[in-house]
Amino acid sequence: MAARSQQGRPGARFAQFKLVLLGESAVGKSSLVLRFVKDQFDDYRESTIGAAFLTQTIALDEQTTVKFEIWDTAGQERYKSLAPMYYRNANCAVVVYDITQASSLDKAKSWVKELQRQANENIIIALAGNKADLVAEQPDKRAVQTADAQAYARESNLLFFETSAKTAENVKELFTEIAKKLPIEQASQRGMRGAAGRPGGVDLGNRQEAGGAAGGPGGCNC
Amino acid sequence: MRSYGLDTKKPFRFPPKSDKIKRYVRKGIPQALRGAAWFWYAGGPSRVAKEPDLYRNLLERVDKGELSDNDREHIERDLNRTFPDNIRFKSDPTTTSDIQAGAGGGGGKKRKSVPEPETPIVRALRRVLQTFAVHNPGIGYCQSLNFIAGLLLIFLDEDEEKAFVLLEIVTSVHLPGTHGVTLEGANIDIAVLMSCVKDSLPAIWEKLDDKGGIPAGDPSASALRLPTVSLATTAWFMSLFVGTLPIESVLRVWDCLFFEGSKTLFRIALAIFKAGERQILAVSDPMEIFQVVQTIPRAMLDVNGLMEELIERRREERRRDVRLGVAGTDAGVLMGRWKGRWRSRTRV
Ligand SMILES: Nc1nc2c(ncn2[C@@H]2O[C@H](COP(=O)(O)OP(=O)(O)OP(=O)(O)O)[C@@H](O)[C@H]2O)c(=O)[nH]1
Ligand SMILES: [Mg+2]
Repeated sequence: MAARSQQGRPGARFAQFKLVLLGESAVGKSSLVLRFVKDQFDDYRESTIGAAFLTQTIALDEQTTVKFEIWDTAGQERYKSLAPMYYRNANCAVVVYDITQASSLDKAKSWVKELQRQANENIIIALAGNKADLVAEQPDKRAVQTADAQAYARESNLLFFETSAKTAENVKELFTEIAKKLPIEQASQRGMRGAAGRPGGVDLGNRQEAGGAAGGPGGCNC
Repeated sequence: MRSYGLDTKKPFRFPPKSDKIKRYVRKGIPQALRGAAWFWYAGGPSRVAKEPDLYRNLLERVDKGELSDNDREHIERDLNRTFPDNIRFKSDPTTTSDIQAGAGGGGGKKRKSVPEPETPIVRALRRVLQTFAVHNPGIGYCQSLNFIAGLLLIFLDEDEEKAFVLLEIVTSVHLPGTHGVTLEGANIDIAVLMSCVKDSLPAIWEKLDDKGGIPAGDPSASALRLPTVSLATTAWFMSLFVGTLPIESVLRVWDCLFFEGSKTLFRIALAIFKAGERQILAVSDPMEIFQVVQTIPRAMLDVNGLMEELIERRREERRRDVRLGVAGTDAGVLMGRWKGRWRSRTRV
């Protein structure tokens, strides 16, 4: 819906998609984005207040380029009422938990449920069990078994990876697999049409409709 | 300050507020006086006088187990994520996993046996955030309070009680409701700011107004949807610009905040939009605008320019207010239902 594209050299495909990161505080959402966008990692990362917006472009093959517009949201519960603003136009979502914290998977599951109910019908959702490096060093730190998370992901129709923002394990793979599942062809076509009328613009009409469909921002009673 | 014959080393009293002092403050309070001046001009001493035993009692209540597990957990999680690059907060990363195990209890007595990688300021930060959460059940622990309390501790020589009192003042006087469990006040701050942009920077507003963000008030009134870019400003208020502006600029903003009140925050926010005017007008995609607005303040080192901008802006506001009367502005109408809060946030 919010996907856009434009054509460069003949045969080349370019598409742009909105991605939102959701999950409990401190599971490593910002760290995953930092690894993906800048290939960096900080041992202590400042907590995100509100949300941050970043972009990253990847080449799927010689012909195909995908640009992600990434919303990195704040994890604390009270920010939850703002979340619909970020996911309502999202083409894809990465729901993150910390494999050393069992409760963070419960939170991830509730995000998946909310996305499946409220977000775009065709949203691609990936589940990321982060901090894999911690259990590589000390296996007894693991609180969520791979098989359990995998089974849950399969029955909920999610992509699934165990990742480490620290070592970069599976980070690129996570975003690449998401990109492969996105409707690039469709987005390219729509984009060409859109570009004819309004070069480089975003269809704000769509944006608003999507907002309405998602029921507006959850708990805002102000 | 010297002309008042005050001890500049450990001043306890400061000269009464006046236009002259205000001009000094706007030029930046000297580093050595900063924390003490903040505390003094924000009304810290009278708060302490009103309830002299408050902080001590709260420490006891934390020790007795009145802190919720949820708040305790979130505070622990953020202690190492508060100014992680600052030497006074930096603990030894090889032993930090022990912190979690020993976390809890107010005093830290129970942790004697565990190797102690935490710096004193981190322990002070824990106690300030824990006592604050117990004292404010409507807020508890809210991420961003860690940055405010952390910076206060640095400039108050790690005096926890004073940091606690200033945190109380910020969250009750300057930004009531902003950090509450529903963040309702934060949404009001944003709505107020956006209506200020609409009023005083109409060309920029034209560009920003994509109606993509938060509904301002009644969800059925979609016409009042705030622009996408307003989402970039949530953190400005919640963290009092920590992490948004360079730290040198944050300190200058806080100088004015504690002397003049919350209108400072709105003026600075407007100044940021004004500073980005050319860039904002040059792009068309709402997400590009968002990136511009997200990026501009990070490089705003020229606080003198920012402050001058501010003062000029204030003069304009005054002139406009005189011309229209505040209630006659669009913003006044838009914010009608939050009149009290609107006034408390914009009083000049
Ligand atoms: N060992 C290890 N630590 C990680 C990893 N990813 C993140 N961390 C650490 O976990 C802490 C939290 O990471 P963030 O990326 O800030 O977490 P977040 O999910 O963005 O948190 P909020 O912004 O509060 O919602 C930081 O101190 C990171 O350094 C990882 O893969 N391995
Ligand atoms: Mg984050």
